[in-house]
Amino acid sequence: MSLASAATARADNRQAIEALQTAASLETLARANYRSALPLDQVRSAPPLVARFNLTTSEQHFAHFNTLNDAITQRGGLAQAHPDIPVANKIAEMLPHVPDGGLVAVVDVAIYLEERLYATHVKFAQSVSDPKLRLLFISIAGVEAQHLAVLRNTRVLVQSGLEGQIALPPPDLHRLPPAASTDPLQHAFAPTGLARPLSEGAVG
Amino acid sequence: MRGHAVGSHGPSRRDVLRAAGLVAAGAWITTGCGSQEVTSNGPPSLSAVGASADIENEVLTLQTAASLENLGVYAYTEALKRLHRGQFGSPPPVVVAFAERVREHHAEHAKALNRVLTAMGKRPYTQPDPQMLLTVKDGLPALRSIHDLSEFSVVFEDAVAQTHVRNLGELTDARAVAVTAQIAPVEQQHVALLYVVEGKYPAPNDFTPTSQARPSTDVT
Repeated sequence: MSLASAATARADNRQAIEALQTAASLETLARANYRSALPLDQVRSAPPLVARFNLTTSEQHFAHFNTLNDAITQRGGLAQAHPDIPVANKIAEMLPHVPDGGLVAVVDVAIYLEERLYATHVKFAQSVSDPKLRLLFISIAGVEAQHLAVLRNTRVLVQSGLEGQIALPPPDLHRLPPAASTDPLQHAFAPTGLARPLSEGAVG
Repeated sequence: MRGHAVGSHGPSRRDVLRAAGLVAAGAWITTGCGSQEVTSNGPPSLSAVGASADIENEVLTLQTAASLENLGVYAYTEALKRLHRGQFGSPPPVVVAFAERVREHHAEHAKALNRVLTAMGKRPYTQPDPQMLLTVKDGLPALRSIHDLSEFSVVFEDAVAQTHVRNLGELTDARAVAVTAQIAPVEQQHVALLYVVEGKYPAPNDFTPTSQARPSTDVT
């Protein structure tokens, strides 16, 4: 390996580690957010699927967090254990409005997070040079995309006064408005405009 | 990487279809990777070009991906005709809206993939996956309910999504990577909503699996 190519490889590895650290910082924030929502009155009084979704999604974000940190340490980087600060600050601004905002307020906080997770993973999948990392980011992005679709579907149902339809399957598909499927599918291509800067969660 | 499944799903019509080769008999295929600046909600621009290790493989992968998207357009067009004819009973507006929206998505995806092919100096691929076309033609008339239709559709969507994901780990062309990265998660959203209609958990995996991805040989 020439000096130039060695330098390029080091830069690529540095970029990969920073992307992984930023992604991990978003995942741990999301995990904490879903866990903290579980005891809320809006969640406890909602159809059981809402609490199941919160718990399952929290676990999935934790799985992402662990896998991203494994990838960091395998590359010689420092594991990222802390939440993304700018996004956490924004969430902190939203939380005081949650108690009086009904289930929609809880869902809106989650949507805010998932939109950024989704966009960030897609953007990083486009940005990193290592095919294995690309595969990792996109395999996570698809799951975040599903979270977002479920949240947007739930939001439509709650706003339509159809909380009783939040079930698997919905008891009466004929009662669901078309927006219950079109709002979650508003983009033919994953948006990347809300992606966090690659080095935002970098450590070390 | 884990493909951990949340919850358990017993043998379903989908499993039966797979086992019988009704749905998986043909082949689902797709595309691959690259890296490029894209910030809009639309398809990525094609200005950035990366080195391609094996352009013919990249082309084959993209052609197969386009063929799957073309098949999606065909399948949802047929499904909508049958929905309006009452083959699955009275059509719920939410299901009709889903089919219309997803058909649009597949059409947009096919166009974006073909733009990449064109930018590479190749012809666009405008035909549906030839093997899977027969599967869809044979399978659709046998479906009797919205549940049947969802199960049938999710097999296709799952395969398309997983193929795009798998390809991202293999492609080298920057344009192909950029487009595929923005398509794959959208297919996962299709899957999630179909699972809801089926009565299954909509995000069952921690990581998108690739076991149902199709090899890039369907269009050869």
